Amino acid sequence: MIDTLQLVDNLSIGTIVVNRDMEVVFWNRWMEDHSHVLREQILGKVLTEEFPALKQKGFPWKVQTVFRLGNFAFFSQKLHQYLFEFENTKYFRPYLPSMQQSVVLVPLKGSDGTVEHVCVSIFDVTDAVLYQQQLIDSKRKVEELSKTDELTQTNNRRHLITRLNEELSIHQRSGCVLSFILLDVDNFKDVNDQQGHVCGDYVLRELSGILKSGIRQYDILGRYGGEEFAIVVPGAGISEALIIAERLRSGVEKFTFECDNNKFNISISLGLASTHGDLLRTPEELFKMADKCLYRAKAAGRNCVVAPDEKDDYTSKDSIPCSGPRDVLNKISPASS
Amino acid sequence: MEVLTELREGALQEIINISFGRASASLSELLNVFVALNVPFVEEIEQSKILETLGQRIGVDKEITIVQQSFTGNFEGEVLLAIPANAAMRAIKMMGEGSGFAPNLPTTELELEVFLEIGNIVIGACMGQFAELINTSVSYEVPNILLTKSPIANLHLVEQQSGAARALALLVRTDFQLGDKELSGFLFILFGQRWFDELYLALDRFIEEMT
Repeated sequence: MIDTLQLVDNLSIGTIVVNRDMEVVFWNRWMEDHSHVLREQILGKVLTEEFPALKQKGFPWKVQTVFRLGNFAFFSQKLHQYLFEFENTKYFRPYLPSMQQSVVLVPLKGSDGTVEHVCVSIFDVTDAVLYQQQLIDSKRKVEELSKTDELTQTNNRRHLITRLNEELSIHQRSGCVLSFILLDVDNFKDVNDQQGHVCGDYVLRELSGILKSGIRQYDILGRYGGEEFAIVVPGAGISEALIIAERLRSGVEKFTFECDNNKFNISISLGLASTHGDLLRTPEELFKMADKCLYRAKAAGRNCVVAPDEKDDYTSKDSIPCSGPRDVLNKISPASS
Repeated sequence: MEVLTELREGALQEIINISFGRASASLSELLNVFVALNVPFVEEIEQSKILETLGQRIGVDKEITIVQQSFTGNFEGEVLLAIPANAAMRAIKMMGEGSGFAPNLPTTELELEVFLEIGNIVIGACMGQFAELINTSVSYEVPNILLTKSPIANLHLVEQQSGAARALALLVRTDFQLGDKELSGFLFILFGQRWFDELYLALDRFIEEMT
């Protein structure tokens, strides 16, 4: 016959047995080690009075169900984290504020089949929880990396298109308007050629900062490629998108860049597109229209914003064709007069 | 291999009916609300049809939360308790007021805990009575939330190894109401074909004792 007490004392599981009055009738060594309450101190005492926090966890109720129904009851780590608060005392164990526990309450029946005692088993699942957290963290990091443009820390092209698709499907369901801004740095080749690529990278980083601070919280900015950026502007028609685009244009124009003690200014050109009734419903269509407008802005002398005009089937009253420095406006925009 | 004869089917239905009756009495007392478990229906189905069958009962588009609990013993199986997603607040109120169940948790966690607890005690009470009636004992695994406020189509069925002996499942299904129809849901018990022999022989013993 094996020594059952020795066996239960050497299990790596907390084991407590209580009677119907919630008095402790058994307390194994694992419980002594982790709670620092000795067996002789707690035997015969009411468990919920020695550990009042158990009441907060709904422990008395679960014990009662086991006595009445003879079922098993559980405290899931996912919901409760722990039943007994045991502080982490190790220097070299990755920390969590408290030992994470999974707890099972089991009925112990007498010879007549009635439940006489309830056994509480406590499993230390801290390691599993830590691994799970590490896994979730790494997954989050990888997801973040796969969405972000490394240089500018804005959305990369792939994620920008994903978000544009999401916003377009919302647009289709709700009928809300959506605009799309495509912009690129004027004569960026000159910056690279004259000041070097390190300075070119600096310009793109600074520029993305200016753009970020010029858009609304729910607008989606991304680097489309090279020195080209795009912004998804949900809920905004052409007139609102024009205001935002013009704010970005003038913000960049006013900003003084400084690289290797060289101070200089740059400008950007912007092309707009907007979902418009049943026209322009796909990302490709929006991109094509915005690209067309961006091309016109370049042709018109750069440093300006161009929106689609009547020839582009933009006949709605809110499709104001253009804004920007007045001379440029006049040059390209017969429809605005 | 043993098969589900009419006699066994009748016996199983009767056993489950009795055990559910006893379980609902204990549950009513425990939760301080009226608990009704309706007459169960027993059928043998192909495992590939399990999801389809659940969908037919619950409604394919209905958003539900499902608590799943496995039990082990001479034979094994799993129980699913499906509760409409919109019943969460009513369930919290009922458990809190009726029974003094009051863990201190944030709302989302509390909702899940209430569902887990309702699932655990309904399943525990029903299976406990069932096991007692056929003279066996069962142990339970930790219940878990299989589906949270989603349609049944989001469930993934883990197909048991193929082969003739694993192709069938025994499905026991019923619905239940807690309180004055405040909370209703569905209860399913599934036994895999590998346990049919044990289960059917236990039913034979029950039939023998009765006659």
